Amino acid sequence: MGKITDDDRKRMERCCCKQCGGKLSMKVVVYDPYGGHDVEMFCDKCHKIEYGTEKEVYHLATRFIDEFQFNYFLDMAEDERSERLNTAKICEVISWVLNELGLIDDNGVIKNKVPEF
Amino acid sequence: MITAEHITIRHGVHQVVDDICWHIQDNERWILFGLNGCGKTTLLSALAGYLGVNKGKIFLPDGQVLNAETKTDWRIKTGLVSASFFDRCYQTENVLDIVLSGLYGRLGMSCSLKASDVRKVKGILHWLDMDKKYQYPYDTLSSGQRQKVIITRALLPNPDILFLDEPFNGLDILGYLQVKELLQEWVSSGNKTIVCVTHHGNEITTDYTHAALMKNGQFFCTGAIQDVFIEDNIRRFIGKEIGVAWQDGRLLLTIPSVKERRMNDYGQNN
Ligand SMILES: [Zn+2]
Repeated sequence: MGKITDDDRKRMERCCCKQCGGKLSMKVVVYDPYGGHDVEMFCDKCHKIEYGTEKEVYHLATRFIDEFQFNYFLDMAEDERSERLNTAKICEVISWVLNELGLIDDNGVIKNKVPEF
Repeated sequence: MITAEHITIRHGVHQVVDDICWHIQDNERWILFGLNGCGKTTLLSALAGYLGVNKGKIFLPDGQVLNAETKTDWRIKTGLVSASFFDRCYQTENVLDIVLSGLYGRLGMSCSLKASDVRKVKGILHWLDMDKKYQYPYDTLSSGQRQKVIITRALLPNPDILFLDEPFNGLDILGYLQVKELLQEWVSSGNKTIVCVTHHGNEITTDYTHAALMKNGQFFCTGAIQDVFIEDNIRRFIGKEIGVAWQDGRLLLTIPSVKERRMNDYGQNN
C-alpha cells in the first residue's frame, strides 16, 4: 500500500476536486477483493481518484463557465456531468496560464507576485 | 530477470494460481496461453505489482522481493495492459490523469501536470487517433478506446517489461494495426521483455521466444515457443482433437470440420 506523504496532506488541505470543488481525502481504492488495493487521493462526492486543483483556480473556473457558457464537450449531453467536465477543463487552462506566468508551483498559488510576461 | 518462486494466489478457498515457478530472462518474449478462468490475468497482475501473493515470492531483476515497499518503483519500470484489470480501477477518471498515472506507478496522479509529459501523452494518443479524447472520462469511451488508453499508460514511462493481457481485445482493424506498430516500435528500441496473455492462436507468432501453457492455476508446460506449440502438447492440454501448424511464422490451430466429424462418427457407427 502506498504511503501518505506530507505533500499529499498539504495538497488535501489546499486543493479541491477540479470537477465538483469537493474535499479531497486519501482513500484505500480496492480493485481486487483478494489483495489488490492502493491508497489514492480521492473525491468522495464524484467517487473518483482525483488529484485536484487549487481552490482559487476552481473558483475562477466556475465563474468563467457561468459567464461564458463554455462547452468543450459538444458531443455530450448538456447536463450536470458535462458542466463538471468543462469546469475541470477550465481548471487545467487556468493552471497552465498561472504556471506559465510563474504564479503557481507545487505549494499552490503564489500571491502578490508580478507575473513573468 | 524476474523469478517467481512457488507463488500461490487464493480467491477465498479457490487457488487461482497454484505453486507457480517461472524465470523470465531479459529480452525474452513470452506467450501465456490458456483457456478462460485458468488464472492468467491474476498471475500477470501479480507479476506487474498490482496484486499480492498468498505464498511464495517474486524476485525483481535487482534481487529485491516484490512487496508493498518495492511495488511502486517496479510498476514504473514495467507496464501492465489489462482491460479487465483497469476496468475495475477506473470509472469517471479522465484519460489524461489515467495515462499520466503510469509515470508514478500509481492509479492516480501524484504531481501537477508537466507540459513535457502532456506533450508525450498527446503524441501517443494522436498516433492512436485518440487526441480528441484526452479530457474525456474513462466510462464514456468504447472498449477499443479504453484499450488504447491503457496501452498509452503502459508505454508512457518507456518500461523495460510489458505485461500484456489480451492487448488487442476490442480494437477494430485500424486500432489493431496502430497498436501493433506502437508495440513493435517499443520492442525495437532495445532490450525489451514481453509477457503476453492470449487465447487466440492467430496472435501467436515466432516474434515470441517462449510460451507457458496454463491450466487450473498451474503451468502445464513451458519452453521455447516452437517446442511448446506442437500437436501432441496442445491436444493433451486442451483435451480435444486440435491441429497445430506453423505457417509463415504464425501459429495455426484448427479443429476437425463438422463434415469431418460427421464422417468419423458415421465411420465409427458402421
Ligand atoms: Zn468531485
